[in-house]
This record gives sequence, structure tokens and C-alpha cells, in this order.
Amino acid sequence: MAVNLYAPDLARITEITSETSDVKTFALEWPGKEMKQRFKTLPGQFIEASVPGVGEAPFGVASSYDRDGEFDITVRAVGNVTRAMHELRPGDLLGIRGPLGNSFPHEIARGKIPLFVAGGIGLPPLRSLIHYMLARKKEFPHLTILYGARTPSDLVYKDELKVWAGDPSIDLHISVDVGEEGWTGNVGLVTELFKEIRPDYSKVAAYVCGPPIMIHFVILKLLELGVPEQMIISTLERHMKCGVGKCGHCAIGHRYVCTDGPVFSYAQIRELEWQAGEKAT
Amino acid sequence: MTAHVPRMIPKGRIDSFLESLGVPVAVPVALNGTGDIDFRIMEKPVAATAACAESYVNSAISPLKFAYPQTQVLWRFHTKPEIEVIPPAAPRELAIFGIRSCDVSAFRYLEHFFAREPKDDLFAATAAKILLISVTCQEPDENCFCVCCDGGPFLDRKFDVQLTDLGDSYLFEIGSAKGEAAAATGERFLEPAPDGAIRKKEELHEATLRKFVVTSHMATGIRKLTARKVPDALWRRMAARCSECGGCAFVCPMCTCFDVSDQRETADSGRRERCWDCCQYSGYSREASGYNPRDEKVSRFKRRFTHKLSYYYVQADGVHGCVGCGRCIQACFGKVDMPGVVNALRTETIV
Repeated sequence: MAVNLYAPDLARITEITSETSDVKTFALEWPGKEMKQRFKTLPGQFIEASVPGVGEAPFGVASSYDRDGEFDITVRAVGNVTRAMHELRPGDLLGIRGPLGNSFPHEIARGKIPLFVAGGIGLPPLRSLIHYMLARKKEFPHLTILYGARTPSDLVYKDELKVWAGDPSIDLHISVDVGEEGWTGNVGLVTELFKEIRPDYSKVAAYVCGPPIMIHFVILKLLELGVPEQMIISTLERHMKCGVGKCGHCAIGHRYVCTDGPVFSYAQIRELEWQAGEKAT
Repeated sequence: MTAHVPRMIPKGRIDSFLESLGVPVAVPVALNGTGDIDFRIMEKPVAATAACAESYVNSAISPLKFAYPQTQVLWRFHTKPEIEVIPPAAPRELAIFGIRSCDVSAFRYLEHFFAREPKDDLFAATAAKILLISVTCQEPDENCFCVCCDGGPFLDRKFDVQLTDLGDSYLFEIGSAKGEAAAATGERFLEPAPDGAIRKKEELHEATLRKFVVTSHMATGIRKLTARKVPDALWRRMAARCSECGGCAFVCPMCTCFDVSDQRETADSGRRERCWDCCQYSGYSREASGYNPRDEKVSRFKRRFTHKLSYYYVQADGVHGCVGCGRCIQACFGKVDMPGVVNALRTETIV
């Protein structure tokens, strides 16, 4: 058990995969039996990762809790903590607090059409739910995934994308904002990919994750196509410092993104925006 | 808890009573130069304790700083040969003598706030060791408005021990199990209260209520803000007066926001600590990516008063975010302090 609410437990890095020039995926495992048994993440939950001496930052867990005592986080080097994490090697320890926050409601997609829309580094949190559903084919026989990134080099999980592309139960569409030499796929915003699919939108359960501006336009598109507000599930991005509803940084109105979220339906986001008197996305 | 028979303590025995508790005592002291009052920990109570408590209105900084310090170590670490997480020093016992009712009210709010799941065990452990011996106010400052906020000047509950100046003695009231234990420890310095002592206190309370200068129509402010009836132009005019100094947040006993940072002490050891933060700073909500959901000052200003006054918070916390201590009035040179803003929300004019 951690020393107090703010102190991490220590997990060991087993593998580091370079996804892009500035994104790495860290596979972690708990050295002790206690944490192995205690640490169960639901899809959409996050952890706070610590590099002692540098700081702490939140990351969505990128793997499903089906992997006992092991988990992945995918990290873009963008600030002090993430840059320090990119210096770490397999075998190093990383401070972890969590799992924190709520999770994606997967039950609403039962008997519906699960549609994932990811932008850039927004795919990792959705991957936890994708893995969860792939492991439950009887309940979720078919998934549609729309994924957009800035350039082909910025696509994460390139090997896994190939597997998904060949999986008959997955309908995968990828687009990049700017093409590169050798890229034969789509060029354009992720919202352009809606032209390639024809689901009955009144039966869609949409899960959207990405940068705030992308989330904003994807939600507008989904509403225009007729997806009900309560069936649009997204994550709100805020600076979650303590992760436990105390430091105040992620608050919107009287809600804390870290403890009341980070997952909200669009219906909830709208209510929250009214109550808070400010835009949430 | 059972009702307590009111007691008295002669002023000359206060120091002995405090000493009998066997714990360090924080007392209000006048600072050299400014004359501001601040609470300082005395290993042994000083003779002037009682006199000092009588002669001051309130401290510049709330004594809640002992429960929720400006900077607090969350944990320590070594990084060699491998990372090791080390607990912070255990909190020690403390009695705060002379704390005012507004700060007692704020203390209970902080206990409530940090106890929400997941519970802040560090705060709980620190607060659990603190005994509040409050002295009711009979001479409110020109900035005080606790009377509008259910924050004081006298309390019926929330205190551990509440003292009321009745001349040569204090009325000694017990409000909690902690207060009960303190009374038992210092029993020999207490006397039974004479008949009429409670009535005398009530009379003093009534007389004090008539001395307040500032009034703040909190309920109207709450209603207008919650119903989104505040024009954007008014928010902008109020925000224009804010110089983002953070003073209001740092003197506010109800403010709880903190930043977290790591401090290295040697190449391979150090500490993680939290430090009070202020929602009016532009960097407060900014993310590593540079994205800032509140990059406009007006949105930060709105945020501050939404947190303090929105009914959704009142619903969740049972109280609004102000105890009427008046410190923000002194801190804010733009006059967008709590009563100033509530008045502007109400009348849509800025003084």
C-alpha cells in the first residue's frame, strides 16, 4: 500500500516500444503480489505516473484489465515528466497511482454498433476498450474504428493497426492530415472518414478521444448524422494534477474531470457546460 | 454527544490551562513593523497569551495554515540504487488558541472537503491532531462579514472549545470530544459558570451583530450566478479589475487548490510537495501540450466565483465557499473581493 493518497506504488517497465519519433509505449508489471491482485483497471481509467525528482503526469491506461497485473501506457514526450519517462529503460521502476477516474460505459454498446473515433494520441485510451470488446466477440461482434493523425509517421500502434485491418470483425479507416512519400491512404481530417461508412447512426454507440478541437468537430458531425447525445461518449481533457479531486486544476463547474470523469457522454457534457457557465470541450 | 455544563476560566489561568494540555500551542502574535497578527507556535504558552487574544480582530493569514500548510511534503524519495518512496514526517499535536469563529467554520469545511472519497489521509492525519480553542469576536473589523455567511461571530457548534470574554473570565464551552478531553485534562483550572452566564453571552452576541459594517447578500449572489443571470459584460468588467496577484486565494481560509512539484535535495534524493495554488493564474489550467481551457482572464475570474457561489457546490458541500473573514477585502486592490463581487452580481454595478 502506498504511503498516502499522493504517494505512488512502484511498477517495473518490462518493455518499451517506439511508436513514433516522440511517442513510446511502456509495458509495466507489478513486482509484488498485492498490487498484481489489487490493480484492476476498467477501460478508460487513467493512472498518474511519477518520475521522482521530475514530477507526475496522468495517462490513460492503453491496455485492457484482462491482462492480469500488467498494463500499458502510451506517452508522447511533450513536457518535463514525459521527456524524463522517454529516458527510462526496461527494468527501471516507475511510480504509479491508480487506477483513477471512471470508465467507458461499454454496456450501452451491447446490441448496438460500436464506433470508435480517435485522433492522434487519443487512440491509446480507446485501445483499452477496443481490447475489452475484442475479447468479448459474442457481445460485441463488430467494431468500426476511425483513426486520424497528423502524418503517417504519427500513427501509433502501427503493427496492431495492420492486425486490425486484417480482422474481419473490425472495420478500420485511417486518415492523415498531411501525407508523406509512400502514403497511399486517405489524406484529410478524421471527420472525412465518415463518408466511408454507412451505419444506422440511430443505433451507434460512439466513443471519441483526441485533442479537444478534434473532439469538438467529431461530436458536431455525430450529432448531424443523428447519433443520440447520450450515445456519444468522450473524454474531457483537463490538467489533472492530483488525480483524486483535491488540487482543483481539472474542475469544470462543480465536477472534477479526474474523479467524475474523464469519461462523459455528450448529454452530460452539455449539462455540465450549462451548470458551469463555460465550454467544456 | 451529551450536552455540556458551561464552565468559566479566569483569564489569569489561561496560560496554565494551555500548559496543562502538554502540547505546543499556536497563539496570535503581533508582528514587528506592520502590526499584522500572525499565529506562531509556542512550545510554552507565553504570559501575554490572553491579552493578545483580546486585543486583535483577526490574523492576516488564517491559522488553518497549521492544518493545510502553504507548502507540505507529500512524500520523500531516494532514487539509488532503486526508487524508494519514504513517508513524510508524522504530524504533531497542536492546540490553536485564539482562532476566530470564521476560521473554525473554514476548518470544518476543509475537513469535509479533504474527506471526500478518495480521502486525503495526509490532511486527515494533520487535522486530527489539532485542537481548536476559539475566542468569539465582540469587536468585528470594518471588513468582517461572517454574519452573512454563517461563519460567526459566535458559533453554536464546530468548535472544540469556544471562549467568550465575560470580563475577568471567559465562558468556556465544549463543542466536541476533543474539547471534552481538553477540559478533562485542564479540569483544575475551570470553574462552574454562574447562573446567567449563557444569557450574558447571548446578549453580547446580539450586541456584536449590530456592530457589523459590511453586509453581503450571499443568497442573491448564489441565485443569480447559478441561474446564469449574470451578463457576460459584467463578468468582463469585474475581471478587468483583477490583476491576477493571487492574494485573494492565498488569504482565503476556504481555498483548497494546490500545485504539486518535486524538489531535489541531493542528486538522488528529494521530496514531492504541494504548495497553495491560485485559479486566477494563467498557468493554472494550462496543459503540457500548451492547450489552456481557461486562457482568458474572464473565464478564470468566473471560475473562482462559480466555485465559491454556485448552488451546485452548495448542494455538494452544504455551505458556500466563503465564511466572511474579510481577508480578501484587504488583499484585493481591484475591489473584486467577495462582498464587492456579490454586490455587483446583485446590482449589476461596480462600486
